[in-house]
Amino acid sequence: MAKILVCEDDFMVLKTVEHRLKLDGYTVLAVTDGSKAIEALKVPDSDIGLIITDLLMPFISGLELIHQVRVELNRETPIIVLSKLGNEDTVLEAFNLGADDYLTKPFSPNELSIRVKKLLLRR
Amino acid sequence: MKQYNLDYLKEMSGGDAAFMDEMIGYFLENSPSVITRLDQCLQSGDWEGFRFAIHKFAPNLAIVGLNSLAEMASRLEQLSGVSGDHGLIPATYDGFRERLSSALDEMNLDFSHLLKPKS
Repeated sequence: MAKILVCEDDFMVLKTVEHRLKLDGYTVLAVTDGSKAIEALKVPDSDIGLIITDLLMPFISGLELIHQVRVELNRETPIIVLSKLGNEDTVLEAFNLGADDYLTKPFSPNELSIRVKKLLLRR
Repeated sequence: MKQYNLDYLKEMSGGDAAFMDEMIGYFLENSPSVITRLDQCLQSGDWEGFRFAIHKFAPNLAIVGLNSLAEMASRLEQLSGVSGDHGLIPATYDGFRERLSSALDEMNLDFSHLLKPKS
């Protein structure tokens, strides 16, 4: 099963996403900010198959993380952004930067599973 | 009827009782500091800080099934944005805070076994 990098600074959201993905059989690397996500992606042979990231985070935002993944690291790893209702403009910006899909918090476990599976199958 | 609803947390956790307890315990431990932060931001007129804190708190409210409070939090987030009507925040926040305190009282009672003893 694929390894998924989850980047979210809120403890409860991070833990629930991590728990759910582990139940689905994935290996999960959970980090609390964008700079830690970049570090994880730079590890040789990290074999991260999918990135799930929040948008509003301290230090490096989700948008900055997407930019770094696509431009500086030149990676095509699929990216799902976590957003809240009412943040559509930021989600559009995320898509412009190269995000592949988004989930609005709170999302159902089935919705999470389906979107993750869909993007991993596309690789 | 309880103010909270754990159906979502149960669904996300696959019914893992230990995980649910961890999340509820964290919510109860962490919420007072969020309220303090929001109070401070309101008093100092730090709307950006207020918006960030309430933005982060709203999903936590939804995770423990305090859905009407999560909706109020989203409303407060809108009001505290750059183009929001900041004048409406104090009254809206008062209502939010009162209902949140009531919900926390209920949850603290129901889940007292999860709380760490205060030193």
